Amino acid sequence: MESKPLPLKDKREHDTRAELTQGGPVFVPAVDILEDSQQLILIADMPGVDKDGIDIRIDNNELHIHGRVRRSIPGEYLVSEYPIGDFMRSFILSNLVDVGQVSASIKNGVLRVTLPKSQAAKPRKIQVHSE
Amino acid sequence: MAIITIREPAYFAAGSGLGRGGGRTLGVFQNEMNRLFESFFGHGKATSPSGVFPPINVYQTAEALVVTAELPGIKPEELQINVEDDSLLLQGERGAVHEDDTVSYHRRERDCGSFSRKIGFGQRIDAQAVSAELKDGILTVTLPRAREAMPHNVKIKTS
Repeated sequence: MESKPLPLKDKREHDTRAELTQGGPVFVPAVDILEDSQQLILIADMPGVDKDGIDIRIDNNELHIHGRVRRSIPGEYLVSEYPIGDFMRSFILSNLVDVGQVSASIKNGVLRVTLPKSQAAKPRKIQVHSE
Repeated sequence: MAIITIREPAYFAAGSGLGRGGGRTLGVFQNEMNRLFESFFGHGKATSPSGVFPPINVYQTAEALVVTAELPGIKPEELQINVEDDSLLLQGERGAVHEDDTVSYHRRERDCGSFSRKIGFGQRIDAQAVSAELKDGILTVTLPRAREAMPHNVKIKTS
């Protein structure tokens, strides 16, 4: 299958270092947010982050994702085209998300957060009773 | 009604209790200083994009060249690596996640598509000994230098 070439994009650096005590740049991961009738799915590119490096918090309807990237510099730099650093991003959830049921997984450097909708937000079929 | 809102990385809202003005400015200034120091002392080398996907970092040791690239979501079977005497060819494709009618997108920042990049090294590689690893979305290709390209000591003859 022929497909369009992948564009080159610079990693977007966070302009605040509020929650971090360590040095080095922090980047904003690219995300897709999908919705179907049952849930929202948030997919974030976080290359270099594994299961142990991911930290997800929900605090007052704010979802925070933070991925720690372990730097391993295998030798002396010859060429440097991309910077290396942690990933961080926050989202505000409406009360239509059932925050107690949020789950997440990470594979191949891609984080997937599943945010089920609360019962009130799911489409329902209304039973009609005959009298 | 928005079910999810992206909180753009930004400065603190006033009254967040984390200090305004001074602290923030200092933070940014310190970041800039850290960056200057880092690029000065080579910890975080200033980057220079090539214009081609994927961006790479190349490192060298006495025995090998090491190329790394960030390829999140790409499976080993979606990636092709070819090595010649003095160059490396990376080709692959990142497919879309969902193309389902029942799904609607609120945000779509992750690109899909194909890529092909050839990297020349200007020195000979031992093509048989090249190894590659794809872990957590990062590709690492280790390319041992050909024997004649390795640094070696020159013995001085004494008469």
